[in-house]
Formats: sequence, structure tokens, C-alpha cells
Amino acid sequence: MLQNALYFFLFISTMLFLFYKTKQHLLVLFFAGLLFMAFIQWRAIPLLLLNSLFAFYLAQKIADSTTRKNTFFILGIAALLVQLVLFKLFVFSEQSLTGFSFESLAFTLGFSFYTLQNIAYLFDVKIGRILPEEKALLYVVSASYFPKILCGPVVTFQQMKKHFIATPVFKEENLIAGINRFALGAFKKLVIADRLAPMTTAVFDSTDTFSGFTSLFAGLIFTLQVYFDFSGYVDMALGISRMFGITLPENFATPLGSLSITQFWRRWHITLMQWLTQYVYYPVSYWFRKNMFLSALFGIVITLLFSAFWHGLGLTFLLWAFCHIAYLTIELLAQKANFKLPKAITYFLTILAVSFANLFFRSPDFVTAKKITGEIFSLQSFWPSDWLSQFVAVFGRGAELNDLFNFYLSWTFALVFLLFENRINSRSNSEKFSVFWLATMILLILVFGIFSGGEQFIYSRF
Amino acid sequence: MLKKTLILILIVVVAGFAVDRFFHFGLLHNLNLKATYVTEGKIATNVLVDGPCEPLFTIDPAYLQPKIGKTVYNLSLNHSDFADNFLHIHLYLKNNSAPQYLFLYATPESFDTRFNTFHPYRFAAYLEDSIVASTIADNDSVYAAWMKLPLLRYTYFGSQLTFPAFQGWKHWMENKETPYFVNGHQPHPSARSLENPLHFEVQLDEYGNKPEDASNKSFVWDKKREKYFRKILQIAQSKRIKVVVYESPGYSGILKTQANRKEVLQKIKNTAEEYQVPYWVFDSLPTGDKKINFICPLIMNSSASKEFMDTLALRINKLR
Amino acid sequence: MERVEILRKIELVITDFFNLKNFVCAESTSAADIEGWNSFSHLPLMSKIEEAFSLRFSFIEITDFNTVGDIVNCIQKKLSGI
Repeated sequence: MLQNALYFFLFISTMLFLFYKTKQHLLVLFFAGLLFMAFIQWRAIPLLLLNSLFAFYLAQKIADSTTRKNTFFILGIAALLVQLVLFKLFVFSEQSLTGFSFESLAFTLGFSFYTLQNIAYLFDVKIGRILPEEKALLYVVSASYFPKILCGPVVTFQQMKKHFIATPVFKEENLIAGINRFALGAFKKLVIADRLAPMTTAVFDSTDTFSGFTSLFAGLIFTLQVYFDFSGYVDMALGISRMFGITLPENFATPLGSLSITQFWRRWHITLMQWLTQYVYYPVSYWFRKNMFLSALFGIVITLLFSAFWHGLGLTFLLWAFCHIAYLTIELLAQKANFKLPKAITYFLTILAVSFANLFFRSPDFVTAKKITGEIFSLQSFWPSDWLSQFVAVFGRGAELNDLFNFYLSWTFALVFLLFENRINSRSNSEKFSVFWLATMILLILVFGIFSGGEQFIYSRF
Repeated sequence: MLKKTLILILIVVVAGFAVDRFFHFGLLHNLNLKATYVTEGKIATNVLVDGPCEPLFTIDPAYLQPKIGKTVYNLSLNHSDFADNFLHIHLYLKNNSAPQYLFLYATPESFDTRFNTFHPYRFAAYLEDSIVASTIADNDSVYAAWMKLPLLRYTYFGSQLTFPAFQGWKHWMENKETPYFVNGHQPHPSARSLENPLHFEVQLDEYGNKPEDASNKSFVWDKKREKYFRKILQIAQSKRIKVVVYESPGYSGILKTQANRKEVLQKIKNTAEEYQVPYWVFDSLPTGDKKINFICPLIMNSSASKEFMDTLALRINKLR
Repeated sequence: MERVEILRKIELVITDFFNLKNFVCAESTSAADIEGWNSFSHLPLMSKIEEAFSLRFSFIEITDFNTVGDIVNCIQKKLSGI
């Protein structure tokens, strides 16, 4: 970690210098992408290049051909989807055979993310929304752009292209804003997410039995953990990108403050949802748009099923999707009947529902998911009979004073952050150099960060 | 921007240094940390007991002392390996007069890396000591890089050290003289009623999930463990301490399923004999036959511990 | 049809569709301004507008509308083309 941090700093500074100083900014980004991937796993490079060049050439074929447009289009989408299915199958079998390991997947680094971009590109060219790109380099760079390669955000080619065609001009405020945002991401990941991680492991990766409330609470902790982990990564990605003067789309809009599941899905993993809306839901439901309810219901089902598939082939992801399908359908019906609840209650219900669904999302296999839901619905043992040993000690991983201290400290960080999230976010987006902000972030990370957490991001496996 | 950057660096460095000192001072004054308590140099005991959780939970000096007419201090720490024990003994001997006897707990598990480990954070406040530093570098190469950095040498193990640092300041302000566990013995956490073998079934899993699978149950002898085992014997003998290596009774229902336990016991005996150190094994005691006597395969409950200490005392009294 | 007329007609459709009160539509109005106008209701709403003007939007047109102004442009183009 120590070395990696140093290498990363050197890498970014060198690339920034070359990006602004040489006239070849695309080439610089191209090699930066290769270098970045090579550092993590060089085996991932061929797949990325092949995949992107395939989409690039096929798009030209689609545009040029008059008679076989559809054939080429279907061929391209099918090839990409088959790859995606194979990839997910591979992850799935890997997971069920030997337990999940990041190492075995390394050669598919970022695969799910750039494949989505390639599919969108073929689609947009096919319907004539955009013209096919003529420069192969520009297209490949848009796919291999290193800040987003690990875990997104999901972007479209046109979103990237507009940044790449202009000659970059160095602006101090971009650098400062980028650093501010990066600091926030590192804080979220190292101080909050990685402190919560052992708490979820204690419940989900254990064969012990827990009281129902403890299990449900583990779902809530995981919800927080995955939010801070993923959004922390996105903050860092957006921050780094901003230093290069390139604004990537936002992926989260304070989702944990949502008052309904519908709202939650508009604020959570936004770029994936936009992709699903644009390239899965709209094309299909365009045909029966006259019927509001049917169209909405169909949209919910297809979007979430595809999302479940995108996350993985396991039954657990399917159950996660079914939970959300049920939630959204209920909300749709409630909306139709004009049924409303007070805000405090809908807030509570939303976070509860999301956490419950996440029990399936986080469970390593179906058996664990079944065990955990069984505990929740066994009504006689729902509340822990002894709070210290059956609740605090589980998450604190022990009941010594030190464990209790860590338990409460981690919670304090997460809750205080959520309470002031809007204010913190606007600070992190500031273009002003604030000694106070940066000193606070750096010191909090240095003092309270977890540096032995393994440097993995939850979403780099999807 | 340059000026602000300089101010930022200055603030981070100054504040970082201040927090570093906060940790350092706190840890140096936290008497509940055995490394700190032994460096106070106030123990002066006749018998020193060391090892992992088994002696920590089972050897109660308050019970043993009157039986042998000697003062006893229990230096054991949960989950510690020989390198861990070695550093504690080193710090003890550096700051206290040498005891008459050292009782070192060793079983086949002690020489197998699947059991127990080294805890560098226990020594974070003593990195200036060259033996501490080199032992850490030998056992944890990752932390060896971090321990050279001010502040990060403590916060790398933040979840282990932040609370003890605060507690140390409290001890200092209260002028505390003795640690929470005065003579180093600590009752088993699930043993507010020690007679109740709480986690027995779960603990058995540590030996492999399938009882019929003997391959899980043969021990692998680790060279590094052996190295620190020898270092302990050497450092003790250099101070003319009489060393006894011993094994307390374990639950025979489990022990007899372990393929090479006997051979490894012999190997420990042979290694100890190179230093003319005896190896006391108590596997013929009836204590080991009853599951009810145990909290987990190697840890006895309090009544069985007392029985064992009675036997141990008899043997100690024969030592001359 | 004049732009203003088209805008007023769209305003009526939107008001009716979302059960709004005192809703005033501007060319800059977008989905973000109206509660309930989300991806699920977008297509049905467009289909209501299609009915009101007796025309048909293509897939790209529907999915590329960002503001009411975009819709007005598109309708104006289609109507003047007839």
C-alpha cells in the first residue's frame, strides 16, 4: 500500500505533466491507460483492446452498409452480450467452486464497464444518434480511460469524446477541485468503508447463528459500507479525471437520504441506471408506451433483472432484484392509489428495505442468504437477549473495551458524515484551495484510516 | 497556491508529529499493555510464565503462589507466538531483575503457523529498541516499512492502538500503579461461568471441519517458530534463568485424532534437551479425558485449571 | 401552429397527466422540475403528447428530449412538414 501510493502519486504527476505539455494528449492517455492496467494486471490489456477495436470497426460497418445494417448490429451486440454472459458465468463458477478470489478475475479487469460503453456505442450508431468515430485511437482511449476503468462510472462514447477533441489547457482550478474531490474519496474509502468492512464479514462470512436483529443490522452496515466504498472510489475517479480537465458524470446523489425506493434508484449508481434506461428499458417499452402502468412495471422488471445479471449470475442477485421489483411495484400501486406516509416513516422504510435486499446482495451464497433471512423471520429470537454479547460484540469483533471503542468510533464517522453529507460534498467540489479542508482530510486519513484493508473495491468485481 | 501548499504541509507535519507523540506517550503509560507494564521495572518475580492464551487463561498466580512459596507473574498474551513471547521476555529482562524460573508453554500447535501469530502492534511504542525492531522486520515485512514513518507507525494499527493510547493518558492522569489484571492472569472471556464449555463445538472446527480427515490434523513444523523458541531459551539461559518448557493437558478426544502429535512432542523435547531444558507433558492426567473440563481443546475451565496447578505445584516443589 | 400554442397545449397534457395544480410550463422546463416525471412515466407522457397533436415521435426523438423546448421544436418541425 505504501509503495503503491507512492507509485500512484508519481504516475499521476508524470501523466499530468505529459498530458498538458506534449501536443499528443490522446497518446498520453492511451499509454497512461496501458500502464495503469499493466500495473494492476497486464493480462487485462488484450481483452480491452480487442473488445474496443471490435466495437469501433463494427460501428463503421453498420454506418456504411445500406443493406446489412441490422445484421452487423445484431452480430455486434450478440458478440458483446455473449462475452458478458461468459464473463459472468466464469465469475459464477469461480465463486461456487473455489470461493471468490479477485486474482482469478484479473484479466477481465473493468470488463463489465467498458462492455456497456461498447454496446451503447453500437446502439447509438445504429439508430443514427451519432456518427461512427473515425479515429481508432480516440475510441480506444474513451474505453481505456484509466480513472474510470476499475469501477466506472458507466459512460457513453459521446460523453467522453467531447472532452478528448479539444486541446487540453491547464487550469489551476481543475487541479485543485480534483485534489479536493480525491481527498474525499480516499477518506470515504479508508476511514469509513474499510472500518465497516470487518463488521459485515463478521456476520456474512460466518456460519454462526445470530439474532434476527443482528442479521438485519448487518444488512444496514453493508449498505453503508458498499455506499462509502463505491462512492469513495467514484469520488477518487472523478477527482483524478478532473485534474485532466475531464468531468466524468456523477454516479451518486446522496442515495442514503432517499424517501422512497423510486427515489433511491434515481440517486444510486446513476450512470448504470441511465444506461439501463437508455439501452434496455426505452427500446423495449417504446412499443407499448400508451399504457402507463404496464410500461412502468415492465421497465422495473427488465431493468432490475438486467442489473441483477450484470452484478452476477447467482441466485442471490436474482433475489436482490426481486426484492426491488416488489418494492417498486408496491410504490407504483401506492402512487396510483394516492397513498402517502409521513416523511420520517418513508425514510426509515426505504433504508430498511434497501438493507434487507442487500442481505441477498452480500451473502456469499444462497445457503447463507437463507440462513440469514431465516434468522430474521424467526420471531421468537429476533431481539438479542444480551445486547453486549449478541450485538455489539459481534460487530466489534469482541467485547473488550478496545472493540467497543472501535465499534462506536466507526459508527460515529459514518453517521456524522451522512448527517453533513451535502455540506461535505459541496466542499469536495470546490475549486478553491482550502488549507482547512485538505488538512482535515489528510489528518483524518492518516490517523483513522485502515491501511491494511487490502486495497480492493467491492465494485471492481462486477 | 505555493504558499498555501507550504502552510498545508506545515500543518500536516506539525499536527502529525503531535499526534505521534500523543500515541507514544499514551502507549508508554498504559499499564494494561504488558510490554509497558514490564518496562516499568516493578515486577520482580521469582517465576515467570509465558505463552499464548492457554497459560494466560489457566495459570492464575494468585492460586499458584502460596502452593510453591514463590512469586509468580503471568507474561502470556492471547494468540501470541514465540517471537511475540520472545520480545516480551526481552523487554522484561531489560527492565527487571531476572526471575529464578521461566515456564514456557509449548505444544505442537506452537510450532505450526496455523495457530497463533506475531502481533507487531504490541511493541509499537518500543521500536527504538534494536532487538524489537529487527524481530518485527523479521516477522512482518509490511509493517517494517510503515514503522519507519512517524505517526503511521502507530496509526497503521489504529484499530489496535487508538484506544490503548487514550487509556494510557488516563492511567497517567490517575497515577495508576498496577494494571487491570495485576499478576498478568486473565480469566477466559466466556468464563464468567468457566464451568460452562460455551464455544466448544465452534472451536473444534479449528482443527478441520471433517473429523475423519487426518491430513488436516497433522502438524507442520515451522522453522521460524523454532528459531524464536531457541532464542527464548538462549536469552533466558544467558541470564541464568532455569527454564521449564511445559504442556498443560488438552482434551484427549481431540488430541488422539491428530496424526503426528506424538512425533512433534518428541521433537520439542529433543530441541529443549539441546539446552538441558526439561519438557513437562501432562497428557497422562485424567483431566484430559473429560470434555466437561474444557472450554476448547487446549484450554481448561477454572476447576480443571486448579487441579492442574496443584499437580504443577507439586512438580515445581521438587525442582531444586 | 405558433410555438406558444404548442407550449400551452403541452402544458395542458402535462397538467392533466401528473394531476398538477397551477402548473406553468416554460420552454426550459425539464423532467427534473416535475415530481413524477421520471423514466417510467416519460414514455407514457410522450404517448399522450403524440395523441394530443396526432403525430408520432421516433425512438431517438423521444429519448433525446431534454426540455419541453426540445419537444416544441420537434412538433413544430413535424407540423410544418405536413
